[in-house]
Amino acid sequence: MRIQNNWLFRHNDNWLRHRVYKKLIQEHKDLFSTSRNEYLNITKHYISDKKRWWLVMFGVAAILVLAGLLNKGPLGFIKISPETVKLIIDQRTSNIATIISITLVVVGFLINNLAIKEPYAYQLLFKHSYLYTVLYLTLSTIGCLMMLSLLRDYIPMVNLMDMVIAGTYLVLIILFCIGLLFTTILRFANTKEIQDLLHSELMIEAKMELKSILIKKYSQIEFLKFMDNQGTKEYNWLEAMNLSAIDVTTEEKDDSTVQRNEIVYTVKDIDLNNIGRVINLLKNGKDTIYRQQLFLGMTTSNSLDEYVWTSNSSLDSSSKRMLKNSVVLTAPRDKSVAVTRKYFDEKFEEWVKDGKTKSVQFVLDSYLELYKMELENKVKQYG
Amino acid sequence: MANSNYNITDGINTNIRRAIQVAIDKGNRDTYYALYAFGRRVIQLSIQKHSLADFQQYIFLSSLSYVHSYRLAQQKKELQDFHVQLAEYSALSLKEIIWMDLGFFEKSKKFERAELNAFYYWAYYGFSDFLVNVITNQDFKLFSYALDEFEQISYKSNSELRFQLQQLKRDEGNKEAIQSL
Repeated sequence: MRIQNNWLFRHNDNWLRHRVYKKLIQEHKDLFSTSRNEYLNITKHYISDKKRWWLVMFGVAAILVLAGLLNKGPLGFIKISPETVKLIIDQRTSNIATIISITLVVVGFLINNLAIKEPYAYQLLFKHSYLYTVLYLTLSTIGCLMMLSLLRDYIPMVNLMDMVIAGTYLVLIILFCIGLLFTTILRFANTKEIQDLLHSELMIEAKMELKSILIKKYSQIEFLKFMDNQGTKEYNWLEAMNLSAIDVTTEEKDDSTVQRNEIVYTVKDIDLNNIGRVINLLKNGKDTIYRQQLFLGMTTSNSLDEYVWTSNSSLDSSSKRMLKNSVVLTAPRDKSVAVTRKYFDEKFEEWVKDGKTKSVQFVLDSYLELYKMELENKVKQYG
Repeated sequence: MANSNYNITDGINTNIRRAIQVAIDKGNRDTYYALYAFGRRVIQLSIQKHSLADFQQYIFLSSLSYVHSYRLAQQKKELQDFHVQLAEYSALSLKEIIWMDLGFFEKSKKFERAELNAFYYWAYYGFSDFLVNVITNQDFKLFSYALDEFEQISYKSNSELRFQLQQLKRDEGNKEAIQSL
């Protein structure tokens, strides 16, 4: 069982996910934004997460250290005297401390005046205004500048000079980011803006959900098509029992010998080429080869080493191992992805009870968009 | 294959049904019409996109609204006016779905006959379910109104024939043609 194999090695037609993705991109183009936008969105989403404080902190420290080490880097055109450097380093720290205290007060005031005061709206606002990122950036810069101020007598003046200049640039960047933060938060004093944001968040979530639904469906079709081509048959009790045969032998397994695997996995990818090899080994002209249906995203607690078998002989250990190795398993996603939809459903119920028709209409419009998205992306027939 | 039939719109239909009942309970006409209009829009979309499953889910909204509002109107006199309005609107909408929404697509020839028949079957099923509920409640006034709407659908289907007949009668003569029609 290969858990979380590197996707780079699975980027070819031997693997089911790759085949399904190709089909998906071909048939459902509107579910995929251009690759450049997609990478940009993923990066933005990654950076704006409140858990990424370490990334920002190391980023700031790395910029300052690199600026100091490069010495005659792109910042080398500004020349300042050693006295000015020492003066600036102390001043910058107090400057930025003042900026952040004012910023926090203003942000607090603006958040108090938000149009929709709910935990989920706050969460969205923080994410879209990059509040956490800006805060981490400011705090990291203060910390680093304080360290520089402390160590100014130990760092060679040539390096310190560039570090101070880099620090000043960082402060300017922070000023710009705070400006952006203010404009974003101000926008959210308007209910319409928050509703637009909620709607787009719902659409992004639905798109992701729809993609995983389509992957499941297409992978079922693709897996079945492959298995049919390989000459395997759907398992059928009556046929498999072969009631016409007189000497039906049955094997009884004691409960204690059956391995109980309580851990649940999700099927992430399937190596079709490898399964094909196992099936070829099993083919001897007489025995029927049976299969179990597998698909991507399927949750299982089974060890998945006997999803292909023959009617008369049991599988040897090497075939079992090959079958087991053909399936990549991963831990299932633990948190629910449909957070925005849940919020919409709750609000919808509340607004209907309160008779707020305008707000109800907003939810209905979003629901209708969901229907449109779903109906425009039905599973297309395989050619 | 757990969860393989899950869709992104799952649960919306239930939300709408529940919301319609709440809106009727509160006598909130604006919210009710907004919800009902949503149902109509999903029905139109399901016809355009050939999705019978969604059509089936929403075609019974009229029946549901009627049954719920009738029961309430019996208890609260102030809701009677709303009930009559809602019931007549439901009958009108059902007629429009069959006459216009489905009829338009029949004309556009985007459907296979069998598929179109399935849509018609469920649309008529929805209408007859509504009529059955009306007559069960012995709501004769509404029944007469709803039946009138229902008859208009059949009038539409042979309106061309009627028109030809009128034309021929006006022209006097050609009795053979009249007979054949």
